[in-house]
Amino acid sequence: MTDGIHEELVEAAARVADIEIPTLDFPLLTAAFANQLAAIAALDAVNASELEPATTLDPRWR
Amino acid sequence: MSDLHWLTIREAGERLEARDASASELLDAVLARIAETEPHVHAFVTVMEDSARAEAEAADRRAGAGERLGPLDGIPIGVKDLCHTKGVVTSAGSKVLEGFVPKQDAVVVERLRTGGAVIVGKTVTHEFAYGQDIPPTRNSWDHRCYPGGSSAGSGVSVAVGSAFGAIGTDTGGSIRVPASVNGIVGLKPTAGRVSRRGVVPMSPTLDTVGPLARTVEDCALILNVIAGGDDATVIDEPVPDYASGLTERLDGLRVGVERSYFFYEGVRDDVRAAAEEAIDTLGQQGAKVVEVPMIDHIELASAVGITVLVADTSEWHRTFLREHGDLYVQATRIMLQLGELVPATAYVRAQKVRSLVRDGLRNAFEQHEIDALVAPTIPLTTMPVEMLSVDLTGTGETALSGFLHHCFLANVTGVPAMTVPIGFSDELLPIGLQLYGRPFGEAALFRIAHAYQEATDWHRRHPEVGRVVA
Repeated sequence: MTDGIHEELVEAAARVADIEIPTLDFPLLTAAFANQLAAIAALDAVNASELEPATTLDPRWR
Repeated sequence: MSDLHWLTIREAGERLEARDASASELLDAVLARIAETEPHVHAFVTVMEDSARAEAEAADRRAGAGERLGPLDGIPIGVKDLCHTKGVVTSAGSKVLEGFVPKQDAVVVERLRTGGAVIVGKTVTHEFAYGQDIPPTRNSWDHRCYPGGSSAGSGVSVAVGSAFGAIGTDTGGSIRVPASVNGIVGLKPTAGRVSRRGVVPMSPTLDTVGPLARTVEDCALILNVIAGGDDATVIDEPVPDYASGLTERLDGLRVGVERSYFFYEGVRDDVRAAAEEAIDTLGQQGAKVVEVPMIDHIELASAVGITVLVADTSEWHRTFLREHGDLYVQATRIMLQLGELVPATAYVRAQKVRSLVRDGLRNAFEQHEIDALVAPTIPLTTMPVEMLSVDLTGTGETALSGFLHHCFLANVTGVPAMTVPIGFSDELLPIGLQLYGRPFGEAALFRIAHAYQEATDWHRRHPEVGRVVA
């Protein structure tokens, strides 16, 4: 999942997120993004179809 | 210079109660200690001398009238610069908030003041507690070394005697790491135990506010004052007297040890040996030590934690990043940019897997009927700052990823966790033992850690100002 992560891809994602990335940040941000996707891949390996999120809505009015 | 600054909060309170010392004298001792140590350790961003003097004098008037407000009345306490302080700059270690003066105290500060504590100053934090920059603060035991973070100033000020106790925040170990590497006690309470209102946030479900002190009993005395409340960040659970029932015996308590995850190959030999010896001591104090097999899904705690953390933190910084991005330290800014790029589905997935991690920990506690799970607080001792790697942008093991490996589990699952000093490395750098508890099970952690301190004297050793190991 982290293969093929490059600065152009990060730049495109940043445009979608509407954030301006200073040129000097791109190498580190690209590395960080690849690292984060590796963490996400570890989570994707879990069958989560029956799981409830740890944070839930409490509908009571306070 | 007097030695009043080395009294514990309990001892200082007894002196105040007996009129053997005054709050003003305690404050003088601490201010003198600040003057002596700050050039070496840089623990404070702001020393609040004038307001502290007024608070100490008020405490003395109460003591004179026999109306002390409790064990913290007249005791000098430091507060992490993430906590709002009315009329005093709260910059969260960042140029982004430079000059920001809150109109109200954070609830935790308000509660300290209500308990009569003397707020001696604001302690240094990494920028917005992210742990990506290295602040000027230096380790109390070796001034070349990393002070821990992000509650760096809180840990160091207590260790050098420039505060009797301090408030820190912990999102992935930020109370426990500085407490451990400075040889003091730190508690990350259960999520919802202490109000987060008025504290600059990272993640609402990972953040906690808690005490650092030189003894377990002192941490309990601080938690007694700051626990509970009625705002939306607090869970409505009874607050027991955490300082009562502390004894030297642990008969009837069960302590779990899990060796696959917490004693993995990345743990230094001297850290491992100190932890094993501390566990033996707990057994000698009467605790039943129970071997716990690898906890289900524990290995996913860091991936869950970092995914939730980066997204939550970036959400709070969304406007600042767009309008003042150039004011952040580059490494912090990159983490904030990163949080903007995490897919929403990954965030939800992390929250789902988080429930699995929580269930794994709960099952371990229930199946083995343990009151606490113990482990080295972190796999390493501290190290010279130039050797430190806190970078989360690359792959592989860094000092910070090692800290998160041992600490993030408590934030991801919301349980309490405490560190207590258990010895020193060959380089005379402190080592800590971490105790994980059941939700709202702080009382058991205090009991176990206090019994350990009754049997040992690590907490009575103090760092030498100006020490640098060649």
